[in-house]
Amino acid sequence: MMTKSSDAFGFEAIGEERKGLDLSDFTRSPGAAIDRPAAEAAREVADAAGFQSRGKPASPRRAGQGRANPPGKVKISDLIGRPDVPDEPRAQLNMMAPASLIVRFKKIEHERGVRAWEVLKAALDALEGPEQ
Amino acid sequence: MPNIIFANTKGGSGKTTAALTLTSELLAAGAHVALLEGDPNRPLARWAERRGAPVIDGPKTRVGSAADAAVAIREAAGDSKLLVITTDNDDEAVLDWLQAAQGWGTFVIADPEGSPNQWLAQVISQAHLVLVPFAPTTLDANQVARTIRQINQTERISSKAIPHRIVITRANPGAVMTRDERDIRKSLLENALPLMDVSLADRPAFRGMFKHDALLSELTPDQVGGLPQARSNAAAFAEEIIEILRQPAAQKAA
Repeated sequence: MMTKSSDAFGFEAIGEERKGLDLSDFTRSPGAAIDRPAAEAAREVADAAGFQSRGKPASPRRAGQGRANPPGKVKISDLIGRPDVPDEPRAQLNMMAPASLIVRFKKIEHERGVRAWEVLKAALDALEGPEQ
Repeated sequence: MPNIIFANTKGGSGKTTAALTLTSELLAAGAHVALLEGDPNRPLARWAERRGAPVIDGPKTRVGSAADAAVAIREAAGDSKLLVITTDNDDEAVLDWLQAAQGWGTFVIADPEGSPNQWLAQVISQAHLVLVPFAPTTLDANQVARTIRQINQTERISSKAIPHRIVITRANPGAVMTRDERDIRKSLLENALPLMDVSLADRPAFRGMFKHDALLSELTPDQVGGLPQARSNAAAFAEEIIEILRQPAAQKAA
């Protein structure tokens, strides 16, 4: 059982006979299966919070060093103001938003089996619909 | 086979020292302990190698399933009661290693890199107990809050309780708390955040485990000072953790 001490550092136990840790409730046994839904939930929450995949670290960029757009991608700033914006090439939008909103967003994406941009398109279509 | 993760998105909070202190107590009590290491600097693997304990280099071993990982663990561990598995750079395979390690050890102790990363999030989602080390400075408070938010949101979305406690590390070894520590303790308790009763003090003996490639029980007074106090502190720390693991919430998570 736990050694209760009035101070948080366990000083009271100094000089006491060491009884040893009682691990009788814990035995080696076949490991439980991984809870995949919990792992997926954690991944989504972590994605939304900006946690990085350690397998795919962001490439470092030196100050003042521009980064060429990868093939098939274009910067939004290059498109704003143009009268008609083509669907291709792709552009990227990163944004910070309340975590609860991102969770709602990811939930819709996951439940409907659609891609993130399709959720955004549906939301924008709904917003712009009455004006068109 | 409970798995315990020491989680903080900030480095320098005392995760690795706390993990090794707990490992030392569990091994001394006869348990088999698998250390799952996420820090690419591999301090635990290097410590184990210097002791001649088995270490699995996860990225080189490249398992495709938990069954593959279990075979690798059986082959590597032999009769050892301690095994270190390094999994840096691989937040996909870490769950396979975790499942296999749970099947081998009496306890699995996970030590992630001190950064906001997916490895940490994945292992938290499977933990029977998350311990959030908190070196009591206001600088660390934000990162503790960030780690707790990750736990809370994962709990909400997965509808699964993840038992967790904050543990004050690098505490003043004297009898008097620093003002920072006192204020932070008060704030944590006022905000109903779960805080362990026992803190880990900043003691040379804990650092001495790394310096001398030893368990706490193997260190001698001529190697480090304050050994009785460190042992007493470590024992109280491990006993409180075992008591938490016996509680219904942790049992349910298991």
